[in-house]
Amino acid sequence: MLKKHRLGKFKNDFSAYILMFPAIFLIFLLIWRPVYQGFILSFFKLQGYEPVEFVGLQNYKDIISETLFKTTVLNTFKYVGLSLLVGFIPPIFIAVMLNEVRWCKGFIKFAIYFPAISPVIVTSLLWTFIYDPSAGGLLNMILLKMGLPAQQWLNDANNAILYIIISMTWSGFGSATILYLSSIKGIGTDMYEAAYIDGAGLWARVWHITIPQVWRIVLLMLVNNIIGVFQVFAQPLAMTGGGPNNATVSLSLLAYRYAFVYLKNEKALAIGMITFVMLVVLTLFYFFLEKRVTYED
Amino acid sequence: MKTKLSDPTGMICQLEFKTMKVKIIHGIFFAVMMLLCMICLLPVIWMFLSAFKDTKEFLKIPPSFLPEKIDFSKVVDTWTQNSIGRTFLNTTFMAAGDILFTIVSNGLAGYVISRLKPRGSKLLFMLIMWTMMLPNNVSQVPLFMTFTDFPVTGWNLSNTYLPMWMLAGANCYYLLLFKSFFDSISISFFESAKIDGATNFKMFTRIVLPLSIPIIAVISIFQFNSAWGNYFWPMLLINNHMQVIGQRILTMKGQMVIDRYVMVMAFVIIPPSVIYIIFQRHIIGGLTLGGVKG
Repeated sequence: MLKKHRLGKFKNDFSAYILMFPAIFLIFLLIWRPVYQGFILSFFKLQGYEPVEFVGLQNYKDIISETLFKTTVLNTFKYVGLSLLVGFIPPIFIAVMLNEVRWCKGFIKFAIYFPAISPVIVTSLLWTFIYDPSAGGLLNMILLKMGLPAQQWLNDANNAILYIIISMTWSGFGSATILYLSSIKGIGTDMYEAAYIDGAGLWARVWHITIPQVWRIVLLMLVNNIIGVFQVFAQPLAMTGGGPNNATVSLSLLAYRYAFVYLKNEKALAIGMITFVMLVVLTLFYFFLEKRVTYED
Repeated sequence: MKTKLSDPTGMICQLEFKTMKVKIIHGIFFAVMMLLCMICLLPVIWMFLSAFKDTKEFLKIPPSFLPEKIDFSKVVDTWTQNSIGRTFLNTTFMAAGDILFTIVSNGLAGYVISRLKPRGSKLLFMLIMWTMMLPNNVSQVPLFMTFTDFPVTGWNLSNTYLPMWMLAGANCYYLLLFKSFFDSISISFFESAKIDGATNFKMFTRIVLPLSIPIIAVISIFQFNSAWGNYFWPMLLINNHMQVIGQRILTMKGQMVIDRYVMVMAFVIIPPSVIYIIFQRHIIGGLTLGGVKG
């Protein structure tokens, strides 16, 4: 009897694993194995894709001593820092305001999320026209109409990253706003009404009720945002190609260039591993936060 | 039907809304929102209008906002001369495969982990979750090796859509979405089916599939959109007539007259926009499905 039961369980498990096979196979082949392979190969000198000689940490040493790599790391941190300054806080307050607005709410939601639905590659290219340094660019057109001098925009090496971040914020703030909005909606009016009766002003209500409610999601989004921007790739590729004078090259773009433009795969792998380690730390932090968030909810 | 003016979720209470001060604050909020809407829509509107200008007008100083005339033959010309139709067809084909792979592979796995729970699946799920957020730039080169020289068989998969399809089938985020959706289906459905002697696969097709049409729809929409903008692996792997729109929009830049290029960009934005207009509710609802996802 017991034996039969065990056999049945085994048969059940077996058929369950067959159903799961496609996903496990693909995740193994396309996510786990490449990371492992990349890790191993980064310690080798490569000829094309064939490892020819074990060189230990030489690839890492080579890449770290390059000035371009230093610029790139700095750039990447600049991307992350600026995105937090420019793009991170506004969606929270936009969501708070949108939650109060009583007219055209459907339209506002529609419009705010609109930039997020077009492919990033297209919106990045669209923004190169908006940032066109000639008088025909949309922004320069507006500046000239207002009697202000035209700007160089993406050709301005000092601020190009800022302008890229602004375009990224344009296409990304909609989804963040919608997420915050749905969290704020969960508060319900009772608490606000009670606060109102107790004489709390609007600002006090935002500060003491709304912000504490969304706080944990804000934290998650913060880590998520850092991880995302750390890997910024499409925007510099499409908008500046890394220029002017490598002022906008990001780590991902550099890794891509080494792999598929300069054809120095070992260096691409070393950069990839370095980014990987930096991001794993952040990812661990994310899971730590997420666990706390889901349990506390 | 009366239009609903009051919104039950706001912090401004019904009574308070009658005071002047709060009305002004609400007015300011509304103005800020309208300004935001303009910022969101203006670049796109500008793109559509500029697409109709001819090159001379496009670069004219001082520039104009509205095109002088709307010439529809230019639309047809731009469409046919750049074989946009063929590229759109390719992209749709790729997107359809992406959707199929993502639903079948991630859906089945989500179902197994959520419902059948074979031994070891918990550990597997934890592993999958841990790898969900891993950065992908370390795997670029090994993946390229995998696609051009497939393990064991040695196949070269470039100039096919299989690499993109397989990547769509290994989407841990959708797997998680499916799993949490199946978690929410009432257990009694499964128990009664089991008593009736249904096999795992039968339970999936007869019970799970019909119940999960909403989540399948949402994931299909998202997958279509991401396929429509997919440029990375196509750019590296496809260099013949099978090219998709994401990679072509990159290579076309600088090869075309500027106003025609803007028109191609407008073409590209139309399908996702139409889908968004039709399925707005599902898309915005789907965003908050998995909790937090940037």
